[in-house]
Amino acid sequence: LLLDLLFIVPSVVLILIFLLYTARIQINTNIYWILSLITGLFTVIINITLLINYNQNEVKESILGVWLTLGDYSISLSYYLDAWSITVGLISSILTLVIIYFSKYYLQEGNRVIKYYAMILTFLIGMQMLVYANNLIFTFFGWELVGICSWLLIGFFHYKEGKDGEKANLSGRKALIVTGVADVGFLVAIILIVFSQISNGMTSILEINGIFSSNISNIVAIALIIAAMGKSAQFPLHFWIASPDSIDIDAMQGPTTVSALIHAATMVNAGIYLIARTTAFGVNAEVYFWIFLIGLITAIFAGICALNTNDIKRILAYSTISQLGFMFIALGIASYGSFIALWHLTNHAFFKALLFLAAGILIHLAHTRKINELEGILRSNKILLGATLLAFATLAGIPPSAAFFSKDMIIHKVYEEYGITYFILTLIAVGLTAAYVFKVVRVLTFKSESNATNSLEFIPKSTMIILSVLVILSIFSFQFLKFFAWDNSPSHMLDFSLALVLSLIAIVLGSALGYHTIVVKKFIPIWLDHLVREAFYIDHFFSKVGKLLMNLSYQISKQTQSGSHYWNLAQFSISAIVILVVYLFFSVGGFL
Amino acid sequence: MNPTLFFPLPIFLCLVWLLILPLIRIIESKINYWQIKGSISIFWSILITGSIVYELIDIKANGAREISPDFQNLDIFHVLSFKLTQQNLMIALIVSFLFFAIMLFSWKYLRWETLLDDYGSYKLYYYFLFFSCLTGFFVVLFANDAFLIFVGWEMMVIPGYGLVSIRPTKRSAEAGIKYAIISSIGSIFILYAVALIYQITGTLNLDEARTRILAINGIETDVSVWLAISFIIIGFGVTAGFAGFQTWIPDAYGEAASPVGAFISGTFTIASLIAYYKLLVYLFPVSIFDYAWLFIVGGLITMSLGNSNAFFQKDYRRILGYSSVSQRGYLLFGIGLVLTQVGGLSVTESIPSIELGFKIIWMFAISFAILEGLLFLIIGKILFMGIIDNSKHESRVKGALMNYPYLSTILILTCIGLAGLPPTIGFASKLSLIILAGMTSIPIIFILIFLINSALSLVYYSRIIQNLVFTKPYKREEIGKIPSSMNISITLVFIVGLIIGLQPNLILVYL
Repeated sequence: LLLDLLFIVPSVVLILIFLLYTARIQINTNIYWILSLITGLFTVIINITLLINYNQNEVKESILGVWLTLGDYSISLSYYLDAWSITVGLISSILTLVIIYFSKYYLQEGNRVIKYYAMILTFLIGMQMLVYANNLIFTFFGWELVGICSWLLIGFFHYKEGKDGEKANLSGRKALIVTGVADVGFLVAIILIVFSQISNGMTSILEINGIFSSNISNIVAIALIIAAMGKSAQFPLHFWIASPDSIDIDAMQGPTTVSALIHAATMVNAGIYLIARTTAFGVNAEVYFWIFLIGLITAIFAGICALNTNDIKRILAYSTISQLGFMFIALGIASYGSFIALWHLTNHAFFKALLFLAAGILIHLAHTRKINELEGILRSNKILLGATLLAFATLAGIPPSAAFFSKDMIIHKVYEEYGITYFILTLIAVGLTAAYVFKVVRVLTFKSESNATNSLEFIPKSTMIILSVLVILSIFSFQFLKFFAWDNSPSHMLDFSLALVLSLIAIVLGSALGYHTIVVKKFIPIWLDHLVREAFYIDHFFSKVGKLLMNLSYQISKQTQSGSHYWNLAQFSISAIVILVVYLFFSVGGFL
Repeated sequence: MNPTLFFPLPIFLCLVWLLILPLIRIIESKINYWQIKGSISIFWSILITGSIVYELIDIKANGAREISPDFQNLDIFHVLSFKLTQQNLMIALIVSFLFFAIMLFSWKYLRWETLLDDYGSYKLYYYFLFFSCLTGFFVVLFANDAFLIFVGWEMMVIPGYGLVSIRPTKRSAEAGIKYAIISSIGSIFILYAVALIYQITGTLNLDEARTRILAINGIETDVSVWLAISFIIIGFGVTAGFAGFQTWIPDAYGEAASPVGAFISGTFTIASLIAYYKLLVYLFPVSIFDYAWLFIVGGLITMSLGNSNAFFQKDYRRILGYSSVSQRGYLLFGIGLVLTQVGGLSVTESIPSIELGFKIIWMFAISFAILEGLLFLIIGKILFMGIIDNSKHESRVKGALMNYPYLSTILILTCIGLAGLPPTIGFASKLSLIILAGMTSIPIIFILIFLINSALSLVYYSRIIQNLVFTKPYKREEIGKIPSSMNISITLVFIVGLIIGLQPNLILVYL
């Protein structure tokens, strides 16, 4: 019943908002905010209740009914409850509640916020469905629902005058199309799983337990990895979240609250969650290695890009990509990898939401996203300074933050499973994180001259409350470990090792590099600087490919649809002759 | 004498209204009031829908029924053979519901679309042609005889030419002629195929013909059979949008009035699939005559052509035309999947798989009819709202729905439904097709082409949404109050699409 309510209540509220809005009943937009807030709170309470009533090691399945019947085969509408689903469900509901609360103070867009709240609630439904679905079809349902919300919310500022509105639109569509093409992987996986299950005589198809309790084939795992790469922005499908400054078409065009919720803390984790579930029960060692390699490349790549970007939101976006890369690295570890990845996901969700909201406040007040125009801005507000520094420290993996422990576990396991070379590369990724963090921190806090306009005295207290809540959650996200770790707890937990020492050294070196970026930059050749600034031209490359494909389509269009009667008839004749000749001569074989 | 001994009740009702319509026209001209035809047409379409529900309840209780009047020594009446099953009645119910919604939409719409003050005559043609199309569709749907299918087909497509060119513009007339020429050639192929079936089996009754085909020794080496199969694929391929025969579709949809596009896009496609099912799949078992790959390859080419053409269109109804081509491609590919699925099985063993596979095809076709119809109606309403120059060019109707949250929500859900995303019927049907692909063992590359096509369709569906909902409106004259009949019509179709999307089993059990 609790799980039913988790979907029914937000859906009813959503319908209510839709009816009130479309009936053009003039009511205060705060009513919509309150409705959304109550719904968010309700889902948090349900998730906490599920957590409290949950017995460790227990997996619960509850079937609501049959959604689709195809002959002997059926697809059931049912839930899957275990520690992972409850944890991710709880995190996403808490963050949604926080963001709804914060949005009232951040978004002052008149009636347009009604659409915003409606989409946030739809997102909440999609996310809960994705997490609790006991059937891959419903996981996909939720997966696509959050994708649609992401598209619409990125494009939220479409009404703005000039290029801003156009950019918002294009960015939304870019996210939809890139993740949509990657979703082909998800569908291929569904097809292959259906084939395998039907061949094995199963009638209840695509149920999570049936799929993941046995080893899945390499090709299914690879297909799911492609889907996850799109949703979780792994290299080279990262560019919908963060593009080079010269292109400036990415998810960061959306409101910062949306970036915090969807493109940092929740939706982008969907791919990690999916792969964690898939690989937890074992895949081939080669598949693990590929996941690890994708994560490693992504973490290093995004770390480098973050160093040479001048937009504060984009730096955070690259940082998200980099941390998702770390989660992929963890997923690529056979023993307890999924466990570590989900723990890092938990830690990351809270501090990254905190960072985005803090950045939102800065952008809101300073009316710029350019970091060199935000010099020393944090110095005027101590709460903001404290919260931001704590979040940045956690991001950099400085002890004793929760992310330090999860990163340390990743590094340690990489050393155990993949040897010294990959261990060093992972350390480089850790160092790069510290580097871009310290670069930003230096600019925001330590620069001596603060812009006159950058006064933070008028920040509403309620937003400070939100930041404080997120600070507490970031600190206590460590506690989620207890919940995860009932019997799957890895043997290694912060034992003093060479790996630990080296990771600390990497953080220190990275911090020094970040702090002295201007000095270091003098030694970097211009071409390399340019290459990094343009994010290695990945976005440019895909833009070119897109244009080429469009051009090809245009040519096909011109050739096949000229509009001329003669050409229409000629096409008819050609097709008819081809069907007759090919069918008669090839299918019939030699009897003619 | 009970007339339903000759015809299924829905066909009988259609024929009655076709006889009455010209008389109503005379009454209208006498009293100089032109809304009678439209009003009674709405009522009549409800009556037809009700008759289908009645038949469906009856068939559910008593099982499938055959209507085959036996007139001694009058062979001609043997052709009048119909079969009513749960499956074809469910399809009829959805189509007649859509038809009712379109009649409701047309009520106030027609005066504007025809751009005429004296539009009384046009309305007669309009309703007459619409009801003729529906009659033809029902005949194809319920017929159990090859020749009757041909007759029904012609009853459906010939008024279709008229409907496409109903708007008094040169381009409309040209589009109608293009369709008429290509479709007429297709009809010749169909007629030859029917003749060949008679030559091979000595009967035109489908059940009898199938029995005889299975009993003939060495049938698989009979050239006439292979010719009949090829002719059926080509003949119905025109309306099914088979690769190479699809050229008329964008022109016709681009120039037809929106309610016409809403009706013919889905209904004609369903009719062509029914014809394929009855005359090809049922009559010539794929286990003996291997034609599955033609549908696989044809479907893949069709969907690629549709999608690649849709990217560049600036005219919304043409985009819908190409979208319709690509959706037909998915359907043809789906038929290919069904037929591939039974490869290696005997004729008897293959029956359950074929039936199961076609459940998915019908589901997809219904989804396509509802969503594409809905999109045509929405575009029709947008054109109605902005009367500045009757332009469908996207720059002219830019941002038309930005300040209409209700309609923009429906448009967004419809477009994403056509792209196969949740929560409407489009998601359930696309997922069913994907599950069907999982039941077969065709090379993964074919499946990949299908999936990539499906993903790329997001490019133009999202562009429609972006331009209509998320762009600053073009300054234009607004017509003022929009007739509520249009809103009701759109809402009804949308609700049906949403309910089936959330609970597809509601109709699947009947299919």
